[in-house]
Amino acid sequence: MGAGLISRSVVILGCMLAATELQARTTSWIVQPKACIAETAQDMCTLAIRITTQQLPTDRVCLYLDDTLIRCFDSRESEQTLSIRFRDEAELRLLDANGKQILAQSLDVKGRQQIVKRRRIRQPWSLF
Amino acid sequence: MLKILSLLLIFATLAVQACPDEASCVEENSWQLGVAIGLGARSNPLVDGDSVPLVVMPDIAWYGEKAYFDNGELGYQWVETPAYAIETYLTLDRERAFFSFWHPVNVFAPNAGFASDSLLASAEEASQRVSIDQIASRKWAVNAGMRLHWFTASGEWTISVESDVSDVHQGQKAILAYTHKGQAGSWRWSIRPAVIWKSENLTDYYYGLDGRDEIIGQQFYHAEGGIQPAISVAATRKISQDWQWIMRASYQYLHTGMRDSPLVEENAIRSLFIGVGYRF
Repeated sequence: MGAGLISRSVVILGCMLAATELQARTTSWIVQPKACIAETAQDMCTLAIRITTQQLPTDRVCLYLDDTLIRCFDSRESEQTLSIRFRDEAELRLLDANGKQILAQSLDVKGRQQIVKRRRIRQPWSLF
Repeated sequence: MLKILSLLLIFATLAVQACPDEASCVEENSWQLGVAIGLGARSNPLVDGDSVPLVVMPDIAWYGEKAYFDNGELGYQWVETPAYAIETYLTLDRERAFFSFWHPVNVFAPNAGFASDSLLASAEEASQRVSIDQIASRKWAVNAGMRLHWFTASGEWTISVESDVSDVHQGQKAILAYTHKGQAGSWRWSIRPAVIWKSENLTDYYYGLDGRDEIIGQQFYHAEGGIQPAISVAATRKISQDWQWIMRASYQYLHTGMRDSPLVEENAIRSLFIGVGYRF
């Protein structure tokens, strides 16, 4: 009984350690926040974001907002803070020196005011 | 059977979106303005009536939370759901537009004064006709109406009833229509068959002839009310963010009470417009 419990515990602990190790070896990043708050969802929004990278596969990486280059940095600099402006939604992309995408994160604008739309009663261009 | 009908109704209601597409909707408390430039005309069925050239066509709409103004109609929408809507409104009666060029409908067209393009009439028919230049002026009328919409997945049914509130013709009008919308490639299109009923009072005021008109008694005419079938089609295609191609055409067949009037020389009202529109 005692041996069985110990062996089961060792197996579980081993799996947890392996999972941790696996996670530690996976290329990843944390982007915070992912949503920008504006008056309406259609407004231009300025967002201060913090990016934490982990296990990047190359020494030099570049950060893009959609197709616009923001900055390039050494992959050893795991923390990046920056301010970006966008409307509706955008994609933050991390590319290697060859332009190959490593990571991507969608960002969007949330509006404080909910835009209410009404269905038009008459057809457009129907004055005549 | 009742269960099946109920399920179908629920399904139809659920399938309807509150705002099916950008062109059909307007942001609350805002204007939707546009102007179209192109070529077109609207025929005039009256003797010596001018067809209206359509060269500049506006699109003017303002929607509040409930109140609205949309292309000549001022109203208040009491109920609006994805499935149905009810509003009451005021609008200028468009019958008067045939008697005068300076109707708000006509004001955006240049005063080209195109003559009516009817076929040559026989001498007898010509003598029975009465020109609008010979008769007393007809007044503008303001109609108050109520309209019910029932929205389906690909269109809407509307039924509206109007009555003169300006004490001009003291008549009524009712319209039953179905608008079906679709998309073919980058073209958005709609087709709208309708049935229009015009009351005797309305028809007789505008198209009847009596002692108010400076004509001989033999030309007096009492116009009866009746039903007019109509159909219109429209198509738009986006050129850019603000520009779009626009095509609109319509055909409305006049009822007997109107066709038999000596003031009227055509059986139908036709219109066509092709141009480009700009959205502000």
